[in-house]
Parts: sequence; structure tokens; C-alpha cells
Amino acid sequence: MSGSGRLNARPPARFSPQRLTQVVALGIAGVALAGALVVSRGLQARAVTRTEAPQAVFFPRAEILRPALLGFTGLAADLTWIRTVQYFGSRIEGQERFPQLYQFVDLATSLDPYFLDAYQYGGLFLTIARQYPNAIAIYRKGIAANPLSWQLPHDLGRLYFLELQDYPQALHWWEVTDRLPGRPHYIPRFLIRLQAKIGHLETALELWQQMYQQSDNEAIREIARREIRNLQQQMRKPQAADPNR
Amino acid sequence: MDPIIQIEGLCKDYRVGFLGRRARVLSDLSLEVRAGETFGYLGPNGAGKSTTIKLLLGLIQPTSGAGRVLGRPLGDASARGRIGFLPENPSFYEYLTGQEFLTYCGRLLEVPRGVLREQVPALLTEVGLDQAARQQIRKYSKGMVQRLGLAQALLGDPRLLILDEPMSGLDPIGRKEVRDLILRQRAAGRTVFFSTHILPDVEMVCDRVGILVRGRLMKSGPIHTLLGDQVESIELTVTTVPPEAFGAVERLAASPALLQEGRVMFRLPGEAALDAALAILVAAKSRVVSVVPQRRNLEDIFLEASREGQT
Amino acid sequence: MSRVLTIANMAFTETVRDKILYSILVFALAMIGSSTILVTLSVGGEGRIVKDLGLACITLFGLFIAVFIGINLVSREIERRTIFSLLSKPVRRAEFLVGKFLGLGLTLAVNIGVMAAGLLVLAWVLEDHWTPRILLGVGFTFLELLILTATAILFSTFSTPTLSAIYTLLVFVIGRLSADLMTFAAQFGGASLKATAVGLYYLLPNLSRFNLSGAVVNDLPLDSGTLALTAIYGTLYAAGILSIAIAVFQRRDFR
Repeated sequence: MSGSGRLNARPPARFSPQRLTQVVALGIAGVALAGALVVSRGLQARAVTRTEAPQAVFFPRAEILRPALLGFTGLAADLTWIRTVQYFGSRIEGQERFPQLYQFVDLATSLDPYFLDAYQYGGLFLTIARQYPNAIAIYRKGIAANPLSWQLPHDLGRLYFLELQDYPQALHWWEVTDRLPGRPHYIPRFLIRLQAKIGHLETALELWQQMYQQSDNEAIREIARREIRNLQQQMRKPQAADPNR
Repeated sequence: MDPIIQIEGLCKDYRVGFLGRRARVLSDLSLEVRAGETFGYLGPNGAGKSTTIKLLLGLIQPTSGAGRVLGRPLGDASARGRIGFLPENPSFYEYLTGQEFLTYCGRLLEVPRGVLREQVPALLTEVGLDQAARQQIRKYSKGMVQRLGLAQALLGDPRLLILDEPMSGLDPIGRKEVRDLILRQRAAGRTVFFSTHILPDVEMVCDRVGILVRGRLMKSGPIHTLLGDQVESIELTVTTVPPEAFGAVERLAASPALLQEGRVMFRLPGEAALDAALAILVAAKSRVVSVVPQRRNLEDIFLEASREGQT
Repeated sequence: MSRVLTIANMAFTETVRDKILYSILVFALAMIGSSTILVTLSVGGEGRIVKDLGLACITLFGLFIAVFIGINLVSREIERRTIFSLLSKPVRRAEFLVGKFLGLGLTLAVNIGVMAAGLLVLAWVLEDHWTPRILLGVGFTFLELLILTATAILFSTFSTPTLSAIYTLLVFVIGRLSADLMTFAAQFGGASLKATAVGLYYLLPNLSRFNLSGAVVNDLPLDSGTLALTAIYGTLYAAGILSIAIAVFQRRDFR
């Protein structure tokens, strides 16, 4: 629209009110944001220098938490497990203690009782952390909820055998494992060796002979043959021979 | 032949306000529209015209009373297949183009695809939207939306057209086009029922009118009956009037004469006065420009009805 | 019938042209994809997180679509008065609602299909974690969402858009909780609480039945008889809600 002097569309003149407002606004923006940046860096520095105080994590009971999750309990279990892994991983290097590890694993497995990896790795983490009673509790909880899974009694048996040297218990749990579908092929051999270890040499010998006769795998027959020879040697030795290796 | 629209004793109450008090919007409405008629439904804003129309179409339910449209009860779905409806201040799906919208309406009317393919462009052309057919409705002006509404009302060859304020929002050209359209429909034998509060349009187009005030039908009937044949006054315009003749005729007139650019207009009270005045003027060798009888017009009737309705 | 399909088709077109849908979809796919990051943070349970997060996203984003688009579909039509040009045609009110429902159902199916495809691709890429059961889980989630769609439509036949959204989301929450409510009331409640809980349980849909993610993720056995009955329950419930909506809609005045 030409002709009406004041209404034409030229950009505002240098010192017009609009231009001034623009400049002032940009100036304030610059100052404010720069200030925010400075403060932010200060906050960051504080966070780093402050020693990380132990975070008291709040552990709700699974039964109370469950309704609030509206059916997304599996996801909550997964996220709890990730948190557990992070908790364990962040402390393992410093060789610190793991005061809340059990609660983490317990919560994850309570939220989803079928979460096999949580029981397995959780039990493993607790074993590494030398919290044996906790580890045993977790394994047993897992076994109760997943009676058909061979991994859990297997790992529990291993815990008793390796860490606690409790051979009767190891034997018991590996017997349980032996009856479950998909269990590893070496379990029967472990069982027989354990029998020998706790002094049931005759039983062990019988079982090796049974395995030798029943197996058609040459490697296994070789192992059985070797074990039979060893046992027969051991049985000929005087009773002072220590059954434990 | 049965009337196309037949309403008897129709009442509609609404619950208004927090306490749900009943407000009577229509009282004891009885009305008839015959086949082939163009009926003008008049009334001030808020009189209940739209309410009546929505009752006819089954968009709302009556509180009491009954009616039939095209021989079927109010709100019957099959009757709606032969009715073309234009709502007041229409709005249509903004994301569709004019053409898509008409095609959609046509499919709802179960017009065969082949017929639809021809009808849609033809209707768009008839209402002057052929250029905008492929534009999204969100870009249409108010007048264009109104015209699209008329087009969708005409889809499927309806027997009855019900138009709620078809002239609203249109400029004088638009209003003329709508008037012409209504006249065309009338010529094609369709019944047209439309509501409006713009009077001049009505006089040019309708056979019968009804005047609704505050939910009551104050007057209804053929226009010329309502207006009456009675001549109220006659406007006589002449030139070249000598002063004595002027004075003589002015004495016959009901009010002072009007002078304008060499012409004089007398308002004479009746035919007798007219004869006398013409005798005087012809003798005075004046020239008669025009003789226009003034009958009551619709505005007078409307105002009268409004006044009655207020009491 | 053809009128119903015409309306369904138009409802589908309308939602497809709604840009918000694409934002929701992109966001959902991003969330599903984020499970790849979560996998790196974990030891053990890697396959689970992909499926759990994926199914949860499909449920939640599907819920958004069902609620917000479903409500718009009916409420917006009434609010903007575009419904006049529909109901003045020989379209019965029931046909209108059923058509909208079908159109929205199709929209949901397409969107869920895209999200499920994303999930399946991810599960397949991460090897060993793909299972056809994921499709079963998605299918039942779809049924759950159809129930909620019908609910959204019911509320929007008589209530404002905002309230309809709130009520529908409430139905989702209570529906998922109703099984727990029953257990809680059985253990702790007095007679009146038990009666209320039982009433709510049967009145509102028991949505936890449609949540198969536990069985899918843990590869638990699924009884096909129970599944079939659940599917029938879902269909009947959705049909029932839609019928109530039709009944309410019949008497409604459109001012």
C-alpha cells in the first residue's frame, strides 16, 4: 500500500522503539543465559567434588507395588534388574560392599518370579559378594517358583560345592538337577564323584560301572573306565586316605 | 395429495440452567406445506425456526405433538433420503476437498457411482464452485461453504429441500443466486421450506409464509392473502404541475407532496382520490410519470406479528 | 451396510490425515528402539527388555490413540456441528457409531501393526529373541484396546471431550486392577467392600486377562481354551459397550 507514509512496510528505523526493545531483549537474554551457564558449571563441580553419599534406595514391597504397575510388572522387573546390574557393576571395581544387593535382586525376582536370569545372575553376584545365605535364599526362591528349570538347582549345588564345601548339600541339589529336563550331560558324573568324595566309595564304583555299561559314547566310557580304576585303587588303600581331595 | 410436511401440536421444551428449569421453545405448532410449494418460515432470532427444522429432521425429539414428513413420521431415516438439508452456519469436514465431500455425501445417499460421477461436478458448477472443487474446505470463504451446503442439499434429487437461513452470510450477489436457485427448484417441482429473517427475499420467492414469534406461529398462509389486496395508498408521480393544480391535488392527498428534481410525488389515499387527482392534472396538462399502488408489505405484517407475539 | 463402510472409510481417512498420529507413531517407534540402549546396560535378561518395553509401548501408545482420537471422532463432530450433514442423510445413528468404531479400529490396527513390525524387527535383529508369541501378545492387546475404544465412544456420546478422556483412562486403570481388587477384597474386606469389588469386577472389563506379556516374555504355557474364551469375552464386552452407546445416542438432542 503506497501513499500513506506512516504505514509503509520499511523495517523499523535505527532508534525506533521496536528496535530498542529487540536490542534490550537480546541483551538480557545473553546475560541471563551466560549467567545460567556459569551457575551450571558451578553445580557440576559441586556434584563431582562431593563424595558420593550412599544413596538410600527405597525398596517398596512387591505386593504393594504390583497393583500400581497396572500389569506392566514384567517391565518393572526388567528395569529393577538393570538397576541391580548397575549397582553391582559400579561397586565391584572399588571392592566395596553391596549392602542393598539382596534387596535389588529380591525385588526384581518378586516382580517377576519367572525371571530366570535374575535368579541366576543375582545368585552369582551375591556369591561374588560373599553373601552366601542371601544367595542360597535367592536360588531357593527361584527353584520354588520355577521347579522345571535345571539351571537354578545346578547353580545352587555349585555354590555348596565350590564355596561352602558342603558336599551333602551339593549332592542333594545336583540330584535334583539330574531329574530335570535339559540338564547338562556332566551332572551324572558329578554326582558319582561326589558320592566318592563323601566316602560312599562303593556306591560311586557301582554308579561308574553302570555308566560304563549303559553309555555308548566312547569318551564317556573312557572316563568311566578311568574313574573305576582310580576308585579301585583308592579302595585298596588304607582307610586313612582322606576322602576329600 | 398428502402434504409434504404436516405438523400438529408440536411442542419442545429444553432444560435450561443449573437447576434444569424447563423452557418452552415451541408451543403447539401446527403447520402444513403442500407439494411443489415454496414456504418461507419467518421469525426473529431465537423464535424457534431452527428448532422446528431440527424436529422435522429428527435431530431433536419433540416433547409432545406429532408430525409427518413425506408421509413418514418425524425423524424417519428413509424419508431423509428424499430430503436435502442445509443447516444454519454449516460446517463441513475441513480436511476434505469440496469434491470429496460431495462424493462422500452422495455415497451416504447411496447414489450409484456412475450417477455420482456426473452429478458432483454438475452441482459444483451450478453453485459456482467448480474452480474450488479440489481445494480443501478449510480454505473456503463463508460464502463458498454456504454454496457447498446448497450443493450437498441438492444431491440425490431430493423431493423436499429444507434450508435453514440459506441467505445468511452472503453478499447481495450471493443472495440473488440463492433466490434464483430456489426459483429453479420450484420450477422443477420441488418443495422448498426455508427459514430466514431477511424479508425482501421472501416476497420474491415464496408461495406461502409462516411467521414464528417466541415459539408460536402467529400468522401463516399464502402471501397475497396475508398481505391482502387492499390498497393502502397510491403514489402518483407527475411533472409540469401548475401551482393551482398542485394545491388542489395536495388537498386530496394524505400527506405533503414530495418534490424531487422537477418531479412531484403525491400520496393519495385511494382510487377515488386518484381519479379526482388525475382529472385535475390532465386538465392542467401535467404529465404523469407513474402510478404505483402501495399495498401492505411483509415487513408491516412481520412487525405486527412480532408485537402481538411479545404480549 | 454400505453406509457403515462409507463412514468407517471416512473415519479412517480423517485420522490418517491427522498429523498428530504420525508424531505419536514416531515417538512410539523411538521408545521401542530405545530398548537397544537398555540392553547394553544389562547382563542377563536382554531379550526380555526388548519384548517387555515393546509390548508396553504398544499398549500405552495404542491407548493414547484409542482414547484421544476416538473421542475426537465423535465429540468433535458434535461440537463442530459437522454431524448435521451426516444425520440429515438417511444414516441411522447406530450406523454412524458403528462406522466410526470400525474406522477407528482400522486406524488402531494399522498403527499397532507398524509398532509391532518395529518390535519384531528389533527382536529378530537382536537374535534369538524373536518368537511368534509376540504376535499373540499384540493381538490380545489390540482386543483390549478395542474395548477401550468402544468405551471412549460411549462416553463421548453424552459427555464433553475432556471428561470422556478422563473416564476412559479411569476404566483402563480400574480394568487392569480389577483382578487385584477382587483378591484384596476377598482377603481384607467386609461384606460391603466385597460386594462393591465383585460388582466392579464384573461391571468393568477385566483387562488383566488380555495382558499376555508375562507368558510371552517368559515363554510360559498358554491354554488355548482360556485364550479362546478370553477372546470371546473381549468381543462380547466391546459389542455390549457399543450397544449401550447406540442406545444413549438414539435419544440425544443435537441443538
